[in-house]
Amino acid sequence: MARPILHMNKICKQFGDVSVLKDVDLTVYEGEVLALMGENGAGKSTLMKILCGVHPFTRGTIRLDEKEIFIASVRDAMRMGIAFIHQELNLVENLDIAGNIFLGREPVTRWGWPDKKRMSKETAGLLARVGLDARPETPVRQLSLASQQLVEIAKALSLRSRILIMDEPTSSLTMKETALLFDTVADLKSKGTSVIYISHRMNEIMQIADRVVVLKDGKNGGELKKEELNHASLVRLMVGRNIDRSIFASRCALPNASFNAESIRTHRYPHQPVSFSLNSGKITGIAGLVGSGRTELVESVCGIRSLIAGSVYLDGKAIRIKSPSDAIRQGIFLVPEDRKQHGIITGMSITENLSLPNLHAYSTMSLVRQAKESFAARAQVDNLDIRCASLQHLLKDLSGGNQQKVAIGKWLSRTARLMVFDEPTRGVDVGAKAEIYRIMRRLADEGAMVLVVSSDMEELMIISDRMLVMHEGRISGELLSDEFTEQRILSYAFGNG
Amino acid sequence: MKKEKGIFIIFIVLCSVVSIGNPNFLSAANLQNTTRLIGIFGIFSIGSGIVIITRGIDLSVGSIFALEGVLLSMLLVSQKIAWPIAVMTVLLLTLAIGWCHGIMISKLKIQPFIITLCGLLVYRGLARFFSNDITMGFGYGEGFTALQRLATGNLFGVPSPFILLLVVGAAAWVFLHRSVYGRYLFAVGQNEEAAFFSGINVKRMLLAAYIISALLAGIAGILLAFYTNAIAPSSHGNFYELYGIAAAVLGGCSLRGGEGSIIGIVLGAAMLQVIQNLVNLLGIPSSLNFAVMGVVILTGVLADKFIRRNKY
Amino acid sequence: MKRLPFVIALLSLVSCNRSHRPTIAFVAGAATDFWTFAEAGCKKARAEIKEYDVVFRYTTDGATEEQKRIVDDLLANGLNGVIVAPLDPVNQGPFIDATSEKIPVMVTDSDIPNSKRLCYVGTSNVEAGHYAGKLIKEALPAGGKILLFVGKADAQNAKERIAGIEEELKGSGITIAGIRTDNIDRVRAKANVSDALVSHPDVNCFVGLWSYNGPAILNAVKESGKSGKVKIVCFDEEEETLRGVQNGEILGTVVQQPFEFGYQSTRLMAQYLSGDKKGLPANGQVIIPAQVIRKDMAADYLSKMAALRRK
Repeated sequence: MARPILHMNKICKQFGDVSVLKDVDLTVYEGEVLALMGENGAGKSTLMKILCGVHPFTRGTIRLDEKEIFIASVRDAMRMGIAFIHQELNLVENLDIAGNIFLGREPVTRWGWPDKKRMSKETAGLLARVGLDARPETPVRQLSLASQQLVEIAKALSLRSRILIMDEPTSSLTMKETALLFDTVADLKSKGTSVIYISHRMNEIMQIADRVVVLKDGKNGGELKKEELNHASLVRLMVGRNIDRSIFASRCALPNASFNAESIRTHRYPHQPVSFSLNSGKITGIAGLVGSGRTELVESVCGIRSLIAGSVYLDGKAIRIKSPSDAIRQGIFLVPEDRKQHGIITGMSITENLSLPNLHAYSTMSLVRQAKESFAARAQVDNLDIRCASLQHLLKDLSGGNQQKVAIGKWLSRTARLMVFDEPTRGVDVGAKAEIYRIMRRLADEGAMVLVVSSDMEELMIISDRMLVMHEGRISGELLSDEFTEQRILSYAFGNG
Repeated sequence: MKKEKGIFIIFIVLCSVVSIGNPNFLSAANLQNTTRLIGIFGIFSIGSGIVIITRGIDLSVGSIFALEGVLLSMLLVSQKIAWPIAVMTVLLLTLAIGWCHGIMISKLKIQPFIITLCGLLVYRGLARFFSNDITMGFGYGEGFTALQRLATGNLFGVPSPFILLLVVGAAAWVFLHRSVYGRYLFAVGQNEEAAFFSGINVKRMLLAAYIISALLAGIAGILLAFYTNAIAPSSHGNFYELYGIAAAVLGGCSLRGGEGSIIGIVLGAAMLQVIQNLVNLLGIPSSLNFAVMGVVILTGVLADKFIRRNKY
Repeated sequence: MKRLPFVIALLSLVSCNRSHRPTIAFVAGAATDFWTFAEAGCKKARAEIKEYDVVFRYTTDGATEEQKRIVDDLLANGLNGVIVAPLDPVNQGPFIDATSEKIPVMVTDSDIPNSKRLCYVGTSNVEAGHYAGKLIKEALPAGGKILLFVGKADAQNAKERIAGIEEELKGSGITIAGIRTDNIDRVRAKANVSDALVSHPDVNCFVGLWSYNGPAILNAVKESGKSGKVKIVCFDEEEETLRGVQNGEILGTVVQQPFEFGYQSTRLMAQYLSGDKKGLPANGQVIIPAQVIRKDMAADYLSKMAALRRK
């Protein structure tokens, strides 16, 4: 039986008079993978920030190897062997791998210059341990996201971390890279490193976790051991209820609206003409591997990028989309893949974000009527159950799930003819995920055409009525809901069939 | 008013200090002098601030003053053109300058610093070239005394540049803080890409910002020309763009874009003029003029941060 | 091989330059009207001396490095003689010496007596200061206070003028209440006067030391409504200044005849380069007398200046 190395006891954390964590207990055993789950706002990131030195706790104790410790800073945490690998990686783009790994603690030669040879040698060893095949002098910006992540892990190892905290590590990885990551994690386990794994992806957790700890509303919400892990028990633990595929089934089909793309070519794949049709009332999923051109396709349809060739028809009439405002005028809206950069403005308030594409509707003679705007914003907040204390809060203070709801909600005050979602639930907790699926279904029921791009096959299978699969810029296959199997989708995604 | 609270407090403190040090500060004559300058500097500072809100910058303002002044003198004095036409021509020129800046920045995507820096160099050079480096004056205003009186006179004891500032400021306030376009400007400054994704015509907003900046510089430049009644083309308006930028930054505009307020900018411009007035009234050696300004600006920015942090 | 045509073009450009006449250059101080008159003087001289080319250069912002740069560039282009109006006479000695090892150098406007210059052509700023001091005594016969306004108080000509004024005012019961500087910013210059009218209501005479200070004082005083109550004395001959003298708003202005600076120095240099060294004064100074322009002479002088400007 593995021994416990870390005990967090009765941890409480308050920000002002808001109590974020209440008497939370967490134990980490040597060489285990502990999955930490919970809805947004449940307190997982706060707990982890306390552990890695970003915040102090208000009350409680932390014991490492039975000795009480006080983590005053991130450096302290690193010194004690606790490392945090963020979702948005913390690497310095213009340095090479070795430079990043030894950042701030470069070994020096006799003359005081950084000892490049030693850094290279040690880096090569670390890279071999994590299974990254790259030279230590490679600049990190040339690496793929997955490889960069492995560099972060290597860095944590070089700091002799005993506890590695990973926050949504697979959100930007392909399936192959995810598998590699899991191999690395297994290897770390065998060498005695513990991993705290934060994720919303249930099938991954079922694959990799030894234990699952759930936080609910800042308190311990239950624990499951590996043998007890299955989809249903997980969901029940977190949300307190079951999410059933059947409620997402298409309820009615209004055959009025239609969208046709004929032989359109994007800049990314100029030699691949793509044609497809959409009908109102149906949710169409677009599956495919990373790099298959899905985002370029939907961005071109929504006016973000231009099309090289081809025509687009809405309700049978040809339309020209040269800019996002053209698309928006036609009722074609996009919830983009990159939420923070494109979907929302983090420095503006909830109200301002929600009203931005529709501001003229709340204005007379170009002057904004603030009462009208606030009213509409409050309506969306209630509609989507966006958790916030006030509408004046800046988006950067909201959780990922709530931010995504705002990114969606800004369009809902207008009538959508075609609503496109690109990776809608990345970094979003299960509760919010379910709500987003409900929103999509409702839109379809009201007559809109819904297009969903996602790398999460499970998700697509839950919500789509039909699926298009893309491979290297072209549509390689089409499936109806009763034909959905992982094998078929994968097979199309790899270009077969 | 939350953001402007800090600088407002500092402004009041500054004025109090000066009036205690020299009660003549509050005399009618001095208030007139100072508000006249606040009017001139405030008008173009608003333009600088709007551009800064879009995450850009306009370094050409001082040189626009020189070129504009030279042309105005040539039109009014040498060519004896009717003053409304001369004024219109000069303002159209500044509009065109702003349009050029805006096009190059929004369509060609060249950095605003570089474009307006080139503007700073080119317009100054043109001013010196057209005038042959000779100081161009307006003499006694034969033919355009009405204009001279408009630009330098008072209305019910309040200097006309200050009244113009109130008008321009009110319009700018409505534009920036109440209109749709002001919201779009802030969005563009915060995150250009997200603004684009939300359907905002980013190019048009940037173009508008630079046109506004140049046009307001144009208006202020006419007032400035008549204030000194002469344009020395090599030195007129030298470094004045820094006054605009300092006023904007003092007033809460972040150089990273997306933040700012008209009231703040006007208060910032007022502070800068009061500081210079202070140097003279308190008998501080003129050589320390800029040093005092630097210290007060720094104190102001730090105090503002402190006041805002205390409310969190 | 692609570089050959470029090299040929460059060479021909360079050789092209060699075919001009021997050149004399006049490097002025800051770009103010004062030097425009000097330029007119140089132009007249050029018309008279046919064998030499005369080139006139201003500095942009009154910086001494720029004067050095201009001279260096001119030397590289082929220069035979130069007349410099040093902005910083105290420290530009070495610069003058270094240049005079290559070509003959004359100095104007402010002298550097210990340097290797051929001679000095200009007024004595101290003498000019004395003339101003006499005007001030006329303005305040019963004594009183005056304020001085200048661009940079440490400029040599400013220091000399102040020295001249102070000497002249000894024992007169007139004191200097202060010196305000504006760093060649006309707006600042006027604002300084406006503020001074508020903070020093007991000062009855304002003195402007540089060419644009006169108009700045005039405008500010007029705006404050104190014309007639405050007396103005200034230097140099900007158009507004002369008009102010004509109208009686300015008591008088001390002019230095910059036209003569340009004319006489250029002619002297041309003579010297042609081998005639007789023109050089024994004591190394060609003093051009300063003049005081009062109301009675103003109209005359105005038209003379206008004629010069038109050239």
